[in-house]
Amino acid sequence: MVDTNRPGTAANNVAGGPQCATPADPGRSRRSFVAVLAGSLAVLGPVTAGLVTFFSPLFRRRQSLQVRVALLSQVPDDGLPRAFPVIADRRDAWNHYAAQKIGSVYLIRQPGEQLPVAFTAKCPHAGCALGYSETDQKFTCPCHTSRFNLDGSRTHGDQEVAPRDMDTLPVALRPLDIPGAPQGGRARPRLDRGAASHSEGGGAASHSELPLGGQGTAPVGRWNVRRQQGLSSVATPQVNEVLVTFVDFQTGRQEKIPST
Amino acid sequence: MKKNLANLTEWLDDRTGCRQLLHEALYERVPGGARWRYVWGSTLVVAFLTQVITGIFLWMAYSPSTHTAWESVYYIQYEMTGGWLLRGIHHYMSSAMVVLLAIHFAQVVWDGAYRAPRELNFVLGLVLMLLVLGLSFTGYLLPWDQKGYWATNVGTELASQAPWAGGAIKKLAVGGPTYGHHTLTRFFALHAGLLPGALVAFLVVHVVLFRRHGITPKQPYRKPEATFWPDQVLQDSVAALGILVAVLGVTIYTGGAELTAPADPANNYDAARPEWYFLFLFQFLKWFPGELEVWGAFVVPGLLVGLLFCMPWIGRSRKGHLCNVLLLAGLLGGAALLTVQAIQADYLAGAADARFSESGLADTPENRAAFKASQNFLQARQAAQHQTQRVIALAQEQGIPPTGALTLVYADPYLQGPRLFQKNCGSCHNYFHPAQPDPHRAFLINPQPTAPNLFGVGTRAWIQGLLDPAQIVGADYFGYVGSPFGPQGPNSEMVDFICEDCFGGELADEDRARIVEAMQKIAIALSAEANLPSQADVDARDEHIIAEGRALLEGGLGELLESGSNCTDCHSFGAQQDIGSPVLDGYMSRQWLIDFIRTPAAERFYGDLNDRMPAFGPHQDERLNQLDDQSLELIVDWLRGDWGGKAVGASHR
Repeated sequence: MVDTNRPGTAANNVAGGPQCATPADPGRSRRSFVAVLAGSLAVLGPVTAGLVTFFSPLFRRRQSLQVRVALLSQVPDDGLPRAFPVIADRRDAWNHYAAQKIGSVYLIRQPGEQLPVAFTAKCPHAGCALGYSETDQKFTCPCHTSRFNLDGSRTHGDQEVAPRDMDTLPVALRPLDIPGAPQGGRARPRLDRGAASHSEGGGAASHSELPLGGQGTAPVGRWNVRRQQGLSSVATPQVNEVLVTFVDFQTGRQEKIPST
Repeated sequence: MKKNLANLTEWLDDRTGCRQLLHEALYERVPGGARWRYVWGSTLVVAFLTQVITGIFLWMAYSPSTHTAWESVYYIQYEMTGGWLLRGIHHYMSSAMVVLLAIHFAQVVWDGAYRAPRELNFVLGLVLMLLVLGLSFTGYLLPWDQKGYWATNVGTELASQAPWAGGAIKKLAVGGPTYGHHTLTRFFALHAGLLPGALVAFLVVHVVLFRRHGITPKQPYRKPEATFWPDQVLQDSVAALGILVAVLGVTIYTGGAELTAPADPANNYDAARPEWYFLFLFQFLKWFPGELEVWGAFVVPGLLVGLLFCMPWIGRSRKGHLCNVLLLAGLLGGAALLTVQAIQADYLAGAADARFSESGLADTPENRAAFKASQNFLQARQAAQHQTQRVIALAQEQGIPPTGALTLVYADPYLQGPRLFQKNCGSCHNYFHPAQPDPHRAFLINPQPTAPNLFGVGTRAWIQGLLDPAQIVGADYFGYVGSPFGPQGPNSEMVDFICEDCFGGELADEDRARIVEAMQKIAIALSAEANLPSQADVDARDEHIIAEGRALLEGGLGELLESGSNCTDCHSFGAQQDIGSPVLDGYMSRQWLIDFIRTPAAERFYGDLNDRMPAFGPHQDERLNQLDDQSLELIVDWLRGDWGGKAVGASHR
């Protein structure tokens, strides 16, 4: 049953194994080098191909969309926050989803103000969704219990778990084109709180029409609220939509808002 | 036969050398004989094997994509024979593994088994521990349920804060800027491919090195030296079986691993917490406010893990070893403390509907905030359980469409109605059973309503309340604060009609009884107009009462009343048209309610008398409306109890 004569058995190894190679073999080191190189390349080739595909998300750019979130009439100027979903088309790999909720914003309009302020409802700490507590008028995070005031500042400043105040988003108003309505089709001035780089969306109006001394072209630091004098004197179109440039902020650290 | 077998063994050994291998595996020396304290390493191997076996069978039924992950796990859990048990073993064995790891690790440190020449094996053990934790983290997301989704989200968001490459790390882990298909495919590849593969590789080296250096025997020896087989194997096997029995026990006791509602990126789950053995990390972060976060998330944990890797070198001296033991005790104790703290913080309120005043806590703003946070957590958990039961009931009844279970969630009035109601109607209206409020619907109770309670709107009981002089003046109907329809309001005609014309003055018992009976018939007839699915049977049964009620509505009631007043003095109904509003034909039917919510001040409804109710959908163009058509229909269907499938925990009048 047991074949003792086949090659490779212990007896044969003594004669045919590597011990047989003489030290004076001239091409040995070159052959060894090529062996290691060829072998490594044979393995590294597929690894590289895999890694390139694996890293593909890094090569894709993030987009910030200007999204309609509400009618201005849905945000009364009472200084209290109202939550609105941010609904936009979304792509997930091979799927296209029409009209998906991609986030949530709180809009607050101060008395007499025309433009609301928009806070993204994502906690700057670990990205949990901030809730609003009516009883004490605070935004609260359900994860690590950070709390924020109505103006987005942290209740306990740097003692709060969250590393920074709530992130604000650029807000703009756009008159709604209603077929048959009095202002139908006519371009209306659009009011921007934020940088000029966020000028897409709607296309019916442009910054050159702003009667506000070009305030729309001046970038406002980190989109923080800035009282715009004379805003309320601008004629209000009958139906205004509130547009928000939605930025999916990284948590934890401040970063520049990518332009649309 | 016996000879053949011997020959075969001989042949196999000749070709493979298996006899030698087996001998080395089984006849390892165990100085001092077999002991129970040596079982932990082996039990970990068996636990890992259990995970491989159950994991492969789960793999056969699992499908990683956002449309199929929850759905396939649901199918494993609720449809496949024994699926719940398989998943339960996999789930609870992962917890058991973490416990076993802690024991194994503590024992190695305690016994100083990391000392030369075993340093490298200790390092390998730590790598294995990190791999196991990685497996646990990646596995938590795979069911793609609310719990796993949001808890993992916290994890990857934290990863994005890592210095320098944080953003890139998160993107690579998630497979894009946000969670999606590729998050699942990547996590699954890690969980079922890369990590277990690495674990096997490291485990082989770990065991080989262990064999090379032999067991670290515990002095003094109690018994003469023995070999691994059979005594130690017996104890190892018994221990492994014991652990399996414990895991089985927990699985059966709990009914298997939890599967919460399908992951919904649009609706945050406020009770998202990591698996219990990661809770200490979660709690740890609370100690690092503001910009210190990086320290809590990376620097301190990183340093501690780094310190663990240095243990063999620290422990070369006696003092160093003592330091290691103290570090170990500090780590385990600290983790336990933080875990308890995290659990205490979440369950501080005790119950979702508990009151702060009854909690016995000192009335400080901090306590109030902590109590509120705990209550939010408990409410979110309760709501999520409620939703889960409903989704599963829907999936079992209707099957899941190819677009996934979320489609069921979004099209379900029972689940969406309360949310939409709270957002759009709840600031004025109330929604609760006056006698027995549903604890799941506590968020729909408005303590200062400025509009009627809409619980059971259109049902016989609701309409009977409207026609009852005691109830109509209450806050649930027209007696709310500031009501123009209340007894003192400018438009008190309906209240006056019920309280004065119908039941006012000195009424003989006999007359009162007759009017009450008539009102009941009217309520039944009017409620039949609503065409409620919950009343379909009784409406069909009470056909003749409905006919009588209709006759009373159309003018018959006046004959019973001294005042001679009638419903149709004010309202249009049946044969009596073009009289006034609200029109009672189709009262509280689906279309009536939809039209009403669209434009309450329409001629057909309240006209000029409309009390502050906004028009939620007056325009043809949906963009101009506060409520889109689908939301409006969902609210109406929910109010009317018009939902398919089983209502879970709903007390519907």
